[in-house]
Amino acid sequence: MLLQADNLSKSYGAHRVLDGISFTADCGEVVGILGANGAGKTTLLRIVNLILEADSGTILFDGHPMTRADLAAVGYLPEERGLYRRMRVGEQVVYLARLKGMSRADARSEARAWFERLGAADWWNRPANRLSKGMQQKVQFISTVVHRPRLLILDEPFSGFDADNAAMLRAEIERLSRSGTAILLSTHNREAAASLCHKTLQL
Amino acid sequence: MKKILLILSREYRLRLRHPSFWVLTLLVPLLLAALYALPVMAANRNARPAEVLVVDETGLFERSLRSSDELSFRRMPSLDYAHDHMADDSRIAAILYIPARETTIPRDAFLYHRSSEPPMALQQSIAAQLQMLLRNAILEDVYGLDPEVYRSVANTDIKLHTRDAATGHESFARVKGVLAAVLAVLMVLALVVFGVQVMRSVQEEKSTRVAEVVAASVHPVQLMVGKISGVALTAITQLVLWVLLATAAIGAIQRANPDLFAQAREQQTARTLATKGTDATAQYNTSVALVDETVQGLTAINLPLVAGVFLAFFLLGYLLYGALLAALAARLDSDADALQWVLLMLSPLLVTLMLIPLLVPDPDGALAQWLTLVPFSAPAAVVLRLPFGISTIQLILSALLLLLAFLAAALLAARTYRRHLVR
Repeated sequence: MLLQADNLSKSYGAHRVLDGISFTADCGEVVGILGANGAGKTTLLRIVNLILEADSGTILFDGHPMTRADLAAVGYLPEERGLYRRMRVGEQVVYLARLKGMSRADARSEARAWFERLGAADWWNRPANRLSKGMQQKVQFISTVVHRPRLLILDEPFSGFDADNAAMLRAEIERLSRSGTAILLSTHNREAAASLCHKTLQL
Repeated sequence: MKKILLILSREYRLRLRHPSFWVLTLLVPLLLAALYALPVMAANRNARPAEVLVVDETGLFERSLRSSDELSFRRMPSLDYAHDHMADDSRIAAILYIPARETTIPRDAFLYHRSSEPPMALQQSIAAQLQMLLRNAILEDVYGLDPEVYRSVANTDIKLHTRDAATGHESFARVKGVLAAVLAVLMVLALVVFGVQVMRSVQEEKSTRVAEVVAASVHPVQLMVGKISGVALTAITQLVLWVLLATAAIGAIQRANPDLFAQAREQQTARTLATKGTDATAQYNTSVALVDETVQGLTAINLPLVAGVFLAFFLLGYLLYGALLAALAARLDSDADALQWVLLMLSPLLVTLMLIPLLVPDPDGALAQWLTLVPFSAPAAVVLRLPFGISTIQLILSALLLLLAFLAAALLAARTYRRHLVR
């Protein structure tokens, strides 16, 4: 089992957002996290990313308690996402990959391959503020997967995507799943969850 | 550590690539060079002297007024005649009219000018000459005194030299006071400019929502330390470039015209003597003595030590304020709130600046010592006291307290950063 969360709880003041949540995600598995707005989906994903601390409960990654070192194997596409406005997007993706522990050469060649694959090779030297929203969304997705994560966390990945980009994203999620990447995907879209996910967790 | 270096490198390169960095880097040395050379070049200018027509109904002044390079006087028989003359000749700057009075001592003189007022320096020069001539006339005619005798008595001066009892060296309190104020202002400016850059960087990551992506890769403390270090390296680069470029620019000016200062000095002497008579000699000697005192005072101060301590306290102060401003930026949700909080946070530094008139006359007083030991005011207070000499124990204690304050601020900032950077 790649990821195992047991009995996670989290409160903001008197408001209990998560109460004893448990789930697992194995390699190649797409786990859908469903729930209405405010149900705690984003909080749960931030806890798995170690951005937030759970009040109680444990997370095991590859059989051991998850630490910050494990984040090198995790890719995260937050719901509210962005890019550095004036930084060239190619350089930006390489920078984010290096923060995940990749070497400069690896990050560069992997990023180039992803840019080619998604038809974005011409954008490499453009700053983010010179790209359309759809183009920026592709670059954001590339920066999430460029370091070849074993666990991919996608928070409302289809929100804000146009139809073409949504189709591209869906295809890539399926491809990554087939190649063995475990995927946590939060959505309030039951249809997307039903068609993509191997199992779901209702919050 | 590797991640901190990556963040540092990004922050550093991003700033160095920004045009504003290079504009500021080039502009400041140019401004310094201009400040250095322009007053001297202005003093060297060879402008045609302004011509002033004199109508002196008292007869006390017209023969004694002295023309100079800047100013020439021409006697006129009447005010009407002078007005006609000025209307015909555009080179005439003004008419000096001293009306006759029933009493022997004239009290008023009038300067009639064209639509644009004559320069203040010219007005002052005329007023000074009238004042001197009137005084001489009163001394001679009313009191029967020789003006030269009076002048030699009036110019008698005694200078109080303050010297260190142990070394016998002159204290140069005036020079040190000016240097202290300049250092304190520079310190506060540098802390504000570079502290705000850290804040802006955090605000950018927060507003563009990149913060959450980065926080999923690095610990917030690493992110904060990387940012602060990156901006610190930018600050040091800019300071070094300013010093090098300003030195080069001033050196180039000196090489292009080695006699620039000698010429200015000679012209100023000639001008002063011509416009104010022999009284000016004493004034001139005083100003030369002031320049000599400044040079001697600066030579007596251990400038490398001052520069070293300045840099050390700038770095410590910057770390403290950088951490606090980073946390503030992480905490605030809108830019609109930022300014008032920044002012509040920087108020200890600003208050120290406002206290300069109290601190410079008493650099070892209780107030100065307290401000040295309070970490938030220490960077400004230490450099303010530095030219006068500050005990090594107080210096070390102040640095240690500043370091401890930075560590406490960094912990607090890290907690705030972690809690509020991603919402």
